[in-house]
Amino acid sequence: MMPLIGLWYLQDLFQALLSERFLAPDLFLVFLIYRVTKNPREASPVIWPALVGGLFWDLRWTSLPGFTGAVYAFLAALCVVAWNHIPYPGRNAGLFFLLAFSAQFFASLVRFIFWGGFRGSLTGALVFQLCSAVPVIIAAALAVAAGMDEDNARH
Amino acid sequence: MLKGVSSAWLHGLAATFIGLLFLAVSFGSPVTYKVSELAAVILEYPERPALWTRRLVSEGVSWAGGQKKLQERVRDLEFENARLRATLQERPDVVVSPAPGLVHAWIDARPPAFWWTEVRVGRGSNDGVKAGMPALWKGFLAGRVSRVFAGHSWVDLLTSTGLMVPVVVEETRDLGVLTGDGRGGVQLLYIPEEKGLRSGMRLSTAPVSDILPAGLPVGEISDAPPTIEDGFRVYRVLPGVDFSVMDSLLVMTGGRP
Repeated sequence: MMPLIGLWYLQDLFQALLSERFLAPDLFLVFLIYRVTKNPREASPVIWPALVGGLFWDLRWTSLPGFTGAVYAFLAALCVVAWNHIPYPGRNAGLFFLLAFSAQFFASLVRFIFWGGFRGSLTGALVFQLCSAVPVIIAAALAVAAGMDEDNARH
Repeated sequence: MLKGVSSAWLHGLAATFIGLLFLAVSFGSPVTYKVSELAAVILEYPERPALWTRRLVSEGVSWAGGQKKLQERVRDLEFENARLRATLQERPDVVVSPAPGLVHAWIDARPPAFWWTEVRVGRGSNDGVKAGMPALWKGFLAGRVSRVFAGHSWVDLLTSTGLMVPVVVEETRDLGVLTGDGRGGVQLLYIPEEKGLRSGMRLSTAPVSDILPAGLPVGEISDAPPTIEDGFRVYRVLPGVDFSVMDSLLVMTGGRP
């Protein structure tokens, strides 16, 4: 629970730091997807926190309660399903990167469409969000790879 | 695996539905604004580090921009000061202490073949002399440093045909170009035919020049009648520098350029 709150707070800090110009990367969502890799069969500890975290995010930043919550919950569920559909040998850091980046991309895309993509400043903000998410996702992918190595060594 | 997947779908769809339901119910509701306000108030304190950082960065950027402007202003003032000192320093009726932005240089060579073209002075890069710096004699522009070596430099003279100096007529603010004729004379070019300049009007370097600083006195228009070439008047100029007797120059190393 504490890591989830910590990640949400970190994302909130980033948004407060970048406010008015850019959108912070969805660190909270990336962390939820990271949790999927740890306990693939446990869907509820990922999806419901996604809804709650997104709901709080909306209350703080978008004034559209439920919007980000629904997006986070849906993307988290998709990631759980996708991860579980891939056979064990294929569940690696590359797959995690693909899922996390896709989730970030679709979260940005939904915002882009919902908020009106014709605004030039929004395009810049979303491009920044995607670009700034990449290092975070790479770092998380490295953590996933390290975790996989440990698991393999244990087995 | 199937059970887990089914469960994920169910949880995911349920959570998404609830999120969308929230969105539908709360859209435009005054309660939403109040709750959002409350969230902002609660998070105001935890978010303070980010707000401080943002302010710090913003002030840092602003400070850096201000510093740049300040440095430009200081350079302008340095130049202004050097120019004024150059003008005053060699006036016998005014006592002015030597300025740090001016380097006194003796003329140590003047090749007869290039008598009106260039002179060599005994100061070089070791003394802070750089190519492009103006050289003055009794406060008037004599030429411009063209080549610099460690212990000496060459100065192109105003009487050289190769040096073209944008100048302004101080009384009328007409712009023209000054160049030498290679035989000790100096001409003012590109004054439109309809402009009638009088003898005695003073010339100084123009602000349009990207080579020399503006405002350096050059000389005045002579009383010789102008000639007309291609629709422009060409005036003879009486330079402030006596190129026949000058034995030293002041190189303006302070300010721009």
